[in-house]
This record gives sequence, structure tokens and C-alpha cells, in this order.
Amino acid sequence: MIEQIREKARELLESGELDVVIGYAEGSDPTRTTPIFCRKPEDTDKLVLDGRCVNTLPAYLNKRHEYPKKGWKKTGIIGKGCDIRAITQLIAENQLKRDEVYIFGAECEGVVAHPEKWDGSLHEGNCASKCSACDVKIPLDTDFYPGEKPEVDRSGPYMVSAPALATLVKMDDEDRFAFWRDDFDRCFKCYACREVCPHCSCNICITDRTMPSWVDQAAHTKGVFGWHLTRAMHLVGRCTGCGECTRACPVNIQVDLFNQKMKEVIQESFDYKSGYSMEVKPPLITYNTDDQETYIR
Amino acid sequence: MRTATLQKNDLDRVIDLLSQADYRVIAPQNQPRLDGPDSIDVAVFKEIQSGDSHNIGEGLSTTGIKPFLFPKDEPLFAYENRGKKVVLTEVSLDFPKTVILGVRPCDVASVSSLDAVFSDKNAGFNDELFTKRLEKTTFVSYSCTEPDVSCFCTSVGLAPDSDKGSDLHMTELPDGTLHVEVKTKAGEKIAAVIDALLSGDGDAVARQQAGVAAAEKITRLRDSAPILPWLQDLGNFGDEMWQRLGEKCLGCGACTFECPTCHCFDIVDENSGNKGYRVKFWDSCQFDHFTLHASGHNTRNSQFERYRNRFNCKFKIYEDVFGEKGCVGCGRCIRGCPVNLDITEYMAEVAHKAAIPNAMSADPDFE
Amino acid sequence: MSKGIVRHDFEPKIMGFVCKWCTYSGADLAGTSRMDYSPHVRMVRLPCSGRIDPQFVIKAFEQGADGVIISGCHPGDCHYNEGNYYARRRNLAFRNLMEFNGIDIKRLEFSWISAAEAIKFTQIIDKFTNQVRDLGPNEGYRALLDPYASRLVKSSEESAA
Ligand code: SF4
Ligand code: SF4
Ligand code: SF4
Ligand code: SF4
Ligand code: SF4
Ligand code: SF4
Repeated sequence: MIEQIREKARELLESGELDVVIGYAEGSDPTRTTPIFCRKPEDTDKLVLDGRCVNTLPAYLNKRHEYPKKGWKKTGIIGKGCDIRAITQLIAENQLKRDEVYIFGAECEGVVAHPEKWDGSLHEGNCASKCSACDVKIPLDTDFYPGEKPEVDRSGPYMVSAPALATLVKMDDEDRFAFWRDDFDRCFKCYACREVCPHCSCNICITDRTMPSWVDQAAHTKGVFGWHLTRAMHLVGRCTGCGECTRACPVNIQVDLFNQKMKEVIQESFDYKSGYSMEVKPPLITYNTDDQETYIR
Repeated sequence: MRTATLQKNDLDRVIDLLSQADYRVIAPQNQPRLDGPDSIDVAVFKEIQSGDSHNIGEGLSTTGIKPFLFPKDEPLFAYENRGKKVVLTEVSLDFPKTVILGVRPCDVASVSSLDAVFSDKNAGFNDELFTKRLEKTTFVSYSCTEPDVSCFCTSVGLAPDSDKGSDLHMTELPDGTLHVEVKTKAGEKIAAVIDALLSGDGDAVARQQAGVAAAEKITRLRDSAPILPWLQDLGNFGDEMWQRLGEKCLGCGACTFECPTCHCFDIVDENSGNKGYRVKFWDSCQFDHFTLHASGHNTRNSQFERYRNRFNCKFKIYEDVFGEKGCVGCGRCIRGCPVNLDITEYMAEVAHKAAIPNAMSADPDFE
Repeated sequence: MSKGIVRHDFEPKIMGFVCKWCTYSGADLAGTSRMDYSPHVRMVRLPCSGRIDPQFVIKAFEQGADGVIISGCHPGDCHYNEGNYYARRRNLAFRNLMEFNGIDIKRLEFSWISAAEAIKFTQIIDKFTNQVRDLGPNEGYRALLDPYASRLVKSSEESAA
């Protein structure tokens, strides 16, 4: 599989059709892979694709990262199904044009939840929960797919939430507040959860603005609550469920549970699945006159 | 100074005795977490009460002891605008007498890196928020016996059994007992408090061997000698390596906030109506707006430049200004980086480049 | 019409974010008509319920509000045609988010009140005020409001004295 991708990537770099191919290479430890920017055809020999490839590479396509400064006209990117969902969403939000990217996809077997849990294989104990009921193991939109891409029924459940979400939802309000308060005590606002996210696309994040200061910059508990509520709200109907925010958090704050909860709400209320269409408008920038309003007096 | 033997299962008693002696006791503790594959074990240093479970001697904590000397956020003063008058309220500099238990050698060595910046030894300004805390803090360090794959203290002049900066040092011996070495006056006080638990003179030979055995387990070995001269050659500032290795950096602050020696902070007024606090909180050279000027100009305009700064800070600026390295080899920045950007790859690359004279080149194929 | 004065142990702080075309005018009408209603709501007038960023609500809780009420024009009546439709979607999501965060959702009220509905305005305000009063102070957030109170020693005024 990866051989065919390497070959195709090499070919397209040689012909000059692509300026760069973003993929995964071996990392500095056997349990890790690392993002690589292949510019020369021979760089493609370094590409790997397996259960350790956790990063959501479309984060690099996000305009607030280096992408626009590089002068790349056409970028090749290797994507797992969920990554490609992120690309689709970026296009739907006008952050990217479809013809600016060339998508290499392949069947995905899932990824490890945290590199440190990698023990040579994927299994129930270490596989990310997002992969347990994934309907894009055969990715949606690809320019190159090794072999014949089978048709897949994607009418089933979409991004089944982690079991931890149910645990939290079952708690009463006070306990849930206490849970987050205690967890947020560890947050030091490194913003890894923001930087790895393909959809935190703002040139200047609201937390970095001090005039006026909507979110306290200091990482006291109030400021951390403010940050995570803000972040979660900004990602409503946009998060494509890659789970990277949780994976990247160095102190194990499972921030994507907020996003998963919002994903459920959006799907139930507006029948919207982020990352599945470049045309359907994300739910919060549109409306129906008969939207539900049971909560309104 | 005194050496002795302590039983490992007496550590709980140590906590009891120190608490009774009016110490605020800090120890590494595993944090509760939700079940499921997506979460990982995280251990942080926290205040501990008698009877609480701790994980002293089990791996390196996820974050270090920095928050107890330089908290992630703290007030400098409070202000209130009362018509024509502004009333300022000072913060207390009366910090509790504290002992931090189970500090790993890299972490306890890092205190001197923070001290270099915050005390008036070098910088000419005494940040009392730091120094007054430090005065009240005693460090009980604990040798590593099982360094992990990311540890590289031996490459920066330390060792898994190093006691640099420690007041009282413990080393776990193969027989399960702890070899205790008192290093300072403050350490003596601790020894006096736990005197009833200490016996004999300890086994200096076994302690020595434990250190050697641990050092042998470290696999990340880098030659740091060539780094300083190579960085001091300013021609290398434009080397192609910086972009090649650093362009994948996403600019989060995970590496800097987990790092025991990173010390940058920002100050902001947190206002609420007519009053508020002036707050000091951690900042990171990896953030894109860290060097953003009011004019809109950004002196480090791309991410690889920011990591270049981080590397230079640890291995050149610290050496130039304070005469020591700013990295203690704890490996946290490696473990915590979401894109596996690895500081030891830079070290290896520099050593490699330094070995080839005039190897510095701008790679023409690299934009 | 006077309700007489009842003393309660706890008087809630309530923030109101309202659209100037409908709810604010409705409040105006209630005022000029000398209707009685609970005085606990601090009202902020905004051009449209679509302008009410959830950030305002988060900030209100962070500044010590025990309850927040958002109100705008009825669907179809928006001065800008569609602002309230966006607000309706956004607030549906936001309520769920706040609930997941552990805020009792009874502290967050959303209503449509037109410029003519002065009576509805007073009823909603009274009812919401009672509801929040029954819930008591927003303890979770109140405990976080002043993160550094325990660190302070003396003010310049005291030291001068
Ligand atoms: S969510 Fe699906 S596409 Fe993404 S890593 Fe898991 S199995 Fe692969
Ligand atoms: S990654 Fe974790 S510690 Fe960093 S800002 Fe996000 S939640 Fe906080
Ligand atoms: S919010 Fe988290 S899970 Fe959602 S797209 Fe961003 S990084 Fe991925
Ligand atoms: S949290 Fe919000 S403002 Fe900040 S980058 Fe993400 S979407 Fe933008
Ligand atoms: S730079 Fe990395 S290895 Fe060195 S002290 Fe900081 S976190 Fe530890
Ligand atoms: S090196 Fe890694 S941890 Fe540090 S800022 Fe870059 S991406 Fe974040």
C-alpha cells in the first residue's frame, strides 16, 4: 500500500505537478512517526503509513500555519479517512481550494491512541476510540487510492463517541463541573489542543487578544474554563473528530469530549455531519425557519 | 555529611513526620483519569497529606517541580480604581515552609537554571516571588533506576543518580532499601525530622553501582561538546538544518511548559470592572506572537526560527550568560511534542555538522 | 399592582442580553407602563439576538452572574430578517455545551419577546428570577471568580495609614 503511494508521490514530485507531499516518516523512537515534508522525489522513500501515524496532517494546510508562506501551488497530502474528512471540511469552510491539494488515501486500520501505548500492534487496549466505529476507513475523497476503492455504506452511525462521554453525561451537573474543574487544574494553556486542530484556523486566536480580553490569558481555573468553552463553541459543527486535541494534551485533559458532545447535538438537531460534504453549509452559518426551539420561551 | 539507610515502605512515614513538623509536603501523584484508550497516566507534583498515595520512585512525572517555584500564573498585585485614586494591594511573599519529595535528578538540577534567571546572582534583579519561595523549599531528590527511552541527562553533564541541587538525596538500591545522603543544612533538618526512620551509614558502594547501572540503560546518547562552539559560530545561524528539522513544529507550548528550565512569562492586567490583578503567567517562545512587535513586525516570523531560538536558548544563550546548559536532559519536550520534534535530533545533527569542517551550507533545493 | 416587599436570603445576579428592536423595547414599554418586575436583571442592549456572542454569556458567568437571559424578536420578526434564526441554532448548541460543562441549564434562559409584549417581559423576568433564586448562588463559578484573593496582604491605602 505505502509502496504504491511512495511511487505515485515520487512520480508527481518528479513531474513537478506537486511541490510537496506531506506524509509520515519514522520518528525518533520506534513507537513514533513524525510528519515529513517531501520536496525531493527521493524523500518519498521515507514515507510510512501504519497504526502509529496519529497526526492529523491537514493541520499543516491550515492557513495560519506556515502553509501560505511556502509558496506551494499544489500540495500532496497523505490522509487517513478522518484526515480527509478534515480536508473536506476545510474546503467547505473556504479555507482551502480543492485543486490546491492532491489527496493520497488508503484503507486505514486505525491508529494507536497515544504513541506511548504502541507495542507493535493495534488492539482493543491501545486503539484510539475514534477508530472503533469509523465509517471512513475507506476514505471518502481521494485523488490517489492504491487499487480499486470499494463502495462503502456510510449511512450507519457516524463517529461513535468515546465511552468516556457517556460516563460524563451520566453524572449530575455538579459532579461534572467538579470533574472538569479538577482536570482543568492541570491545564497550563500550552494550546497544543489548538495548534494540532485542523479547524482552529484563526490567524489570531481570541485567547491571544488582550484588547479586549475575552478569555483570561492566565491559566487559573476560571481562565481555563473560559478557554475550553470558547474553543468548544468555535468548533461546533466543524470538528471532524480526529481526537488530536486530546492526544496532544501533555497532561491528559480529554478536551475532545466537548467536541464529541457537540457533534452529537449537531447531528441530532440539524442532521449535519462535518467533513462529509464540500457543499453543505456548516450548521451554524445557516438556518431553517422550522429549526427546533423547544428550549425557547 | 551524613549517610544512612531508609526502608522504602517508610516513605509514607516520612510524609507523616514532615507534615507533623509543619512542612508543606509536595510529592508526585498519579492523577485520576477516565477509563478508555484515549487517556494516559499523568503524574504531577502536588501537595500531599498523610495517607494519600504517591508515586515517588515510579518513573518521571509528566510535569516537574517548576510550578512550586514559578507557578503557571500568579498575581503581582491587585489594583482598584476609586475615582481619582488607584489603590494597590500587595501580594504576600510569606511562603510556606515546603519540602518536595521524590524529585528526579534532572528536575532538582533544573532549579539552578531557574535561579540563574530569577535571582540577582546573574541577572541583577531579584525576583522575590521566586527567591522567597526557593528559600523556603527543601528538595529531597531520588535517583532514577529506570530511565526511559526519552531521557538523555548523561548527554548534558548529569546522570540518573546526580545530586546537583539536592538537599537530601535518596537512591533506591537493588535490595529495595534507600540510600540516603544529606547534602545541605536544609537536608540536615529533614534528616533530623525523619531520624527515627534512618539507620546505619548506608551502602555507598551499592549506591554507586545503582547509579552506574541506571546510566547504562540510557539509550539517547549525544555528544554535547561540539554544540556550543558550533552555535557560537554565527554563520551557522542560517544553516539549512534549522528549517529542515523545525518546519514541522506546530508552535504549541507543550515543550516549553513541560520543560523544567523554561522560564519565560508574560504580564497582563486582568480587569474586572474598576479593579483587577496584574498577573504574571507562563509564556512560550514557541508561540507565534511571542516576538510580535506593536508595529506588526515579527522578528521570528516562522516556526522553525522559534524552535531555533529554543535550542539556542538551552545550549548557547544559557552557556554564554550563565556558564551552564539550560537543558537538563529530562526528555519531557520529546515525550510531550505532538509532532515528535526531538531536541536530541538537533544535538546529533550539530555534532555531525561540527565534525565535518565547513559543512555548513544553504541547501539550494530547500526554500 | 404593588407586590409588597418580600425579603429573601439570596438575591441573584442576573445578566440580560437583549435585542434592542424587540425585547429592549418591550422592557421600555413595561417601564413606561409602570409595571412591576424583579430588579435583578442587568440588561445589555444589543442590535440583534444574532449579535449575542456566547462569549458574552461565558464572561457573565465568569464575572459572577447567577443566571443569564437572552432575548430577541420572534422568528420572522427580526429587524435584519434572519439574525434570530442564527441565534436560535447557536444557542441550542451553546446550552448543550454549558450543560456538558456542568452548569445547571436552568441558569440560562432564552426567550422571544416582542416590543409589544411588556407583560410577557415582566412575567419571564419574574419567573426566571425566582427560578435562579431557587437554584441559589452559582457556587461552582463563584468559587473561581477571584483566583488570587488569598494571596493579597495589604493595600497602599492601609500601609499609608
Ligand atoms: S478514525 Fe477511521 S480513518 Fe481515522 S485513524 Fe481511525 S480508523 Fe483510520
Ligand atoms: S493541550 Fe492540554 S494543557 Fe495544553 S492548553 Fe490544551 S488542555 Fe490545556
Ligand atoms: S477539535 Fe479536536 S477532535 Fe475536533 S478536529 Fe480539532 S483536534 Fe480534531
Ligand atoms: S479557539 Fe476559536 S478563536 Fe481560537 S483558533 Fe480555535 S476557532 Fe479560532
Ligand atoms: S529542553 Fe527538553 S530535555 Fe531539556 S530540560 Fe527542557 S524539557 Fe527537558
Ligand atoms: S516542538 Fe513540539 S511541543 Fe514544541 S512547540 Fe513545536 S510542536 Fe509544540
